[in-house]
Amino acid sequence: MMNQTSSISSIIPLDKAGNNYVYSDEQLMARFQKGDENAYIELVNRYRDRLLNFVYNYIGDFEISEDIVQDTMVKLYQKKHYYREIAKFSTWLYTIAKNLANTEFRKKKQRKITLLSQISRDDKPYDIPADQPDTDQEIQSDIANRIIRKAIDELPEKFKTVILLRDIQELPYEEISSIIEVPIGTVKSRINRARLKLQVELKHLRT
Amino acid sequence: MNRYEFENLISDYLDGSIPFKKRKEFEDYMKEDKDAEALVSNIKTTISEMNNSQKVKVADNFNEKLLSRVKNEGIVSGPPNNTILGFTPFYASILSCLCVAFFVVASQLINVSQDSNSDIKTNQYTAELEQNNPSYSKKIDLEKELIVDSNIDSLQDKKEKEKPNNSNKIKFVNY
Repeated sequence: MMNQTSSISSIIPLDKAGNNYVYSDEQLMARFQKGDENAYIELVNRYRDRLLNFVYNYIGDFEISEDIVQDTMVKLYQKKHYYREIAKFSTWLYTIAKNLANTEFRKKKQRKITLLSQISRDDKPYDIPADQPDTDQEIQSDIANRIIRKAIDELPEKFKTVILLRDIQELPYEEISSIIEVPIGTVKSRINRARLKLQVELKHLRT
Repeated sequence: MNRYEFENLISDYLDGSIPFKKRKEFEDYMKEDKDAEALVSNIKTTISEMNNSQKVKVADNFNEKLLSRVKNEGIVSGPPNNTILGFTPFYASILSCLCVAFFVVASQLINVSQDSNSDIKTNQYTAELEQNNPSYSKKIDLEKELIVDSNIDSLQDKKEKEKPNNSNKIKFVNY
């Protein structure tokens, strides 16, 4: 049915000049809507890591974030016919992921219990599987990242979303405006205020 | 420039989208206020750290889990089910109300035009009759006069009835 390894050869055909032709996201989506499931695999491969970074920085839990990304891709499969080429595909996909992440974030706030995934057998905080830093510089960088992530977590929801989309996902203002459905002026204003608030939080965490 | 205006322009300055005139004011403000300069520098560093932050990746079996979930859960992708002739229920109900309103208005307009048409036809028929049968017009005139006369008579009777009857009220007596 769907073969992960054969997807690349079928999705990057050669054009008349014999050069590799890479389909855009919208073209892949059009192919998927017509029934080409290899196009779906290619879209999953393109966006899974990006979405995971966004959701992980939003939720703070790796396993739950991966589940949310899975749910997003399942929704993409189920609701492919709802996509219209009026909006960018990435905007549509980020909107689905953001809504699922928001739902989980609100549930988490209500629960306020320690998830089992956050505790290892030694009762130490759970670390995401990553390469161990070798140098002092990498350790410093790792600590800085954790502090920034914690500071972002303390921000109000509307500031957190824009900061993640702009400064971590590096999306343009127009796309952020479409995802969160506010005017571009409001996006810029929120990003500015979020950055100022983030500085205040970082000051507290670093002292 | 005050502190409030300065803080509002920080992101535009860092994005390079600040107008030239404002840029000069902004930089002058930074030169005068070391705290302001430090703030801009810190924000710039934080943005850079966020851009270069550690990127996480999905587990190796992510795709496998996803595909088995799609297959095993019987997830089917298809066109939206809850549509009526391609419209969602909300839009379908609005459209049907508009259609009903259109038909009601159209039927009202048709009835009005039919009534006016029947009046015209009656007048035409009468005119034809008068042309073909001159005595018919005289008969009509006579009928009209009778109607007018009867109206006058009835009016006179009405006036008489409305006259106050004072005969029982005051009597002059000659002694």
